[in-house]
Amino acid sequence: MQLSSPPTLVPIPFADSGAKNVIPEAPSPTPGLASLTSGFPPVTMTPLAAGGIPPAGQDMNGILNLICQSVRWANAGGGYKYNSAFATDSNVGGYPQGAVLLRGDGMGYWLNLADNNTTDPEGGSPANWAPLEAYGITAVTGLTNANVTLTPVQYGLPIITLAGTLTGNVQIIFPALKSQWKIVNATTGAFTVTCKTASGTGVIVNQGGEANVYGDGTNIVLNALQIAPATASNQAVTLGQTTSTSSPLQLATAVATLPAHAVQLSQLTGIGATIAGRLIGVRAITTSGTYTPTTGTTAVRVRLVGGGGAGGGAAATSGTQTSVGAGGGSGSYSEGYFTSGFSGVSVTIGSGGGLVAGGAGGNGSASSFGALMTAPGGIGGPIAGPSAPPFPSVAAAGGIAGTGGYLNSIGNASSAAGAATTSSSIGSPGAGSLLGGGGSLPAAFTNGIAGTNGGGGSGTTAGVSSGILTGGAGGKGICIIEEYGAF
Amino acid sequence: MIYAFVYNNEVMEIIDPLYWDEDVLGSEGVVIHHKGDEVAITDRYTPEFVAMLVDITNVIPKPDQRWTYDGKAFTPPA
Repeated sequence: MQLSSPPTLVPIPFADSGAKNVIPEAPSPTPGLASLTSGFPPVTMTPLAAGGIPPAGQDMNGILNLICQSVRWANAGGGYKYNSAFATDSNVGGYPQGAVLLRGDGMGYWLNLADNNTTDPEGGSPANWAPLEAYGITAVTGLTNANVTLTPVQYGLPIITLAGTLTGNVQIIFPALKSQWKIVNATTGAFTVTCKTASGTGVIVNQGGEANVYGDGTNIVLNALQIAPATASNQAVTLGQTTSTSSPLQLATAVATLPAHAVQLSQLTGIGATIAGRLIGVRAITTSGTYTPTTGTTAVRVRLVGGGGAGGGAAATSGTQTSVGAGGGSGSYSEGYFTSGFSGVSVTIGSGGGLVAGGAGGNGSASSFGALMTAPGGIGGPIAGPSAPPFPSVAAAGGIAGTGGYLNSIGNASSAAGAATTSSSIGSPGAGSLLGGGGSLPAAFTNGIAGTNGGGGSGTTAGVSSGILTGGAGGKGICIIEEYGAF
Repeated sequence: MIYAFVYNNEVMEIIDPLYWDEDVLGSEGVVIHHKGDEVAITDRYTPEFVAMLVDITNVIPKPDQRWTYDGKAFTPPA
């Protein structure tokens, strides 16, 4: 057959306005009338002379009218809704598997999955009916914290929207059918919505988004969508494209408005304008040289300490004399934050005060971060004696305050070294800097101990009849640079 | 050049020359400091610190720590 050869349509049932009988399903008690069960009874096929009765013209009209009603309905593309009387008629015995019935609202169809099905697909206990094609959207509103079991009319539509202000997690219960739905979650409130079957598993549909889920007959399932790689700016991209190192991923989406949305760089840089940046590197510089920032550095926080002073080296003593050396003062400390002019500066690391035997320790040298910040060195520890105790105590000052930073602190002074008697003469330890310790005071008759990171070297203690001693060296300075970059 | 850092008329530190250990590019991408050139004292320290320095490159005898300076001449400690 061909599309161009349709049969003649029936615009009006036969005998629509003519005289006709309603053809009963069971044999009529009236002799000679036709029925669906018996058709024309035998008496209509008996000669009149033998007592026969002619077939009634009203019966013929009724029969043809009955048939033509269905033909005309089919010609018009009409479908059939569930009919309880028809389904339970003993001559029908329920709908056969594969039957397709119209939804009650006429906006879609139900597919029958089993023979002899007498249940109503939209009734209270539907069985073996699955939604087929349908038009429309089911709106489930007012969700709070109660689970919702979808009715057949609701799950019979392909799109289901969810709305409400959640006060607890909510489950949307679907039938255990093999079908598919698009779920749009427009709820608010910090809780989840799970689409599942009554006794199976399901999936959480994120707020502000949608998911194309399907039922496998037991559970509600959501699988990753496979798509072709995007080739235009308005196409979705595959994960493989997003992880490509050859070119950056470009989002053609609108500006993100919810936490679950992808964001555009312009939004991040907007945030970056109000956030100083992120730490991308830390340098601890202990040798003078040129500072080359890590790529991407847009600002630096610099912590700088000058060299520590050396401790005093006590002089040689006689049998009635003592001599003491004070610890060296620490280098001063400066701290600054710079957003320009820091690249390629010359960094000077101040040396620690030099060793001196039998005299005041050498001063520490200044550290600097180019012309941006300077932290002078600590003073070398002086000595007292040799002489017969008692004699005045001595101590070393820390470096003078630095310049250029938002914080410029003087160095720490060492504690006093002195002698009240020959048996109570004592030197002093080196002063600690903000970033390093001073040398601890050694035992009498022993050379001093060096400081670290701008700390002063220790002094010394020469009791009676001591040889010449050497104070501890000052710790050299240090420059610590924290490098910050923008987004 | 050699400088003396003088504070309260006392030499605190002798600053010897420092040399660029690499070429340094400016913002225009051109070399503004060549490796091996001496680092200018104004590029090494803050202006406040430089103001306390005295050029002793040609001072003989060369001063040292704890020498005094009266604004004109250096004197060794007694």
